[in-house]
Amino acid sequence: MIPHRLTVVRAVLLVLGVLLTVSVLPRWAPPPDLPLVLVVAVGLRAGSASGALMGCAAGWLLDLVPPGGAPLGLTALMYAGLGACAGLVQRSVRASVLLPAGCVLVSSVAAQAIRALAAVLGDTAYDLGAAAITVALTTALGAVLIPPILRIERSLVHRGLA
Amino acid sequence: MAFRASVRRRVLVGALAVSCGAIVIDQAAPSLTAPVRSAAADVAGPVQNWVTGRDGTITRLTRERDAARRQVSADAADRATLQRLTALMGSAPAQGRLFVPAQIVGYVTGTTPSSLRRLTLDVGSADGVSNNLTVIAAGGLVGRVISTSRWNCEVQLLSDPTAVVGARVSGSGTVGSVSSVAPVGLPTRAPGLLTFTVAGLGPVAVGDKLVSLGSVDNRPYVPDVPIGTIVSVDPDRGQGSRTAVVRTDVSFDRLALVGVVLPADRTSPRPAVTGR
Repeated sequence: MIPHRLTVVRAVLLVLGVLLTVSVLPRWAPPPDLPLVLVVAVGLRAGSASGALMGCAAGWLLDLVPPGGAPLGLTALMYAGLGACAGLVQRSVRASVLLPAGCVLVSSVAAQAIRALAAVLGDTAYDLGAAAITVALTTALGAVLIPPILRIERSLVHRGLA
Repeated sequence: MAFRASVRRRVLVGALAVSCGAIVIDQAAPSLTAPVRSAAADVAGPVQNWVTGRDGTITRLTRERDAARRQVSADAADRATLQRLTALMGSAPAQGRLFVPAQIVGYVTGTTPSSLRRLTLDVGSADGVSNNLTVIAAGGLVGRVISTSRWNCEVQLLSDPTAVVGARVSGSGTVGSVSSVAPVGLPTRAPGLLTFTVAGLGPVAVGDKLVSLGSVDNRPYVPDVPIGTIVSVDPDRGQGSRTAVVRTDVSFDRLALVGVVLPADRTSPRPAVTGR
């Protein structure tokens, strides 16, 4: 089975995003959550099911690529839920330019809240300042990146390559 | 779309179920998920290294620095050992004697941790060590070998309650015995202090130096090894003979390098002399 070009584009974007988030960006500052931006974009464009699948893939990548996450699979569940939630507002996405940014903000806050909860339950340290920087950067990146991603996906679907 | 809606839903449900299972397994038995993580690390590691543009410089320099540090500390340890060995070889107890240098690898304390009873050395029968050989340090007498294995031996210290050494006051020639047990009627000694029990009525005074008397066939003690100095003479409390307190020349709790004196049996008879 040859994967459709939309799937390939998503996979490439996801792997790039995860590698950037995990390896390159942490050198300078708390990194923005690039995979989450992609998950929200897919959820906004293609609906809950696709968003959840994308979230699952992104979460598994984040959990497995070193340094990885603990426990294994938690990030996958969390991103799947966030992707599905983004899919709920799929129909309103053309109504507002601010919707993608707002959606990323809410998702990012929710993700950090779940991570904080996991840190408290697991009795590990949680850096609130770094989390705030991550939320702000992720929101800014989402506002910039989501419109072009949506446009690419729509054009691929339009050309029958999805 | 890539999948039909029903297939996609099935894949999604499967993925979520696998995630839930992974969480439970990872929490309950992390050793089961460790292979998965290490496999992922094997795949992702080179890509991450390439993405971050990391070359081996830091690793190489770190390794070189650690090796240099190890070398420096090893050199310092070697120098210290050489210094101790030189000191031991040049010391009075070792003069003219054939001995095997040995390091202390273990110890046994008495009823209180402040008193050492036995030491374990890193030489054994393979090095020519056998039971009842004298053990010396740069300061003086340490004890005798009481058991031997191939590469190690056990040394009974002078501070062991069962050790008794024949001793002689080096100036006056008063003979007696040194042990760590205080005579009946006197309080126990402080750690590190031994008792010299005079045989007969010979004189003994504060400041006298004690040397070993020697034994039959030089076992277990060779003669004329310094033992210690008389620091006080006990008052007469009805003990069987005169006793004095000895501070040993060697502090047994600060030994690093000792020597096991090998037997040097006499081969020629001693000539008789005529008085003038």
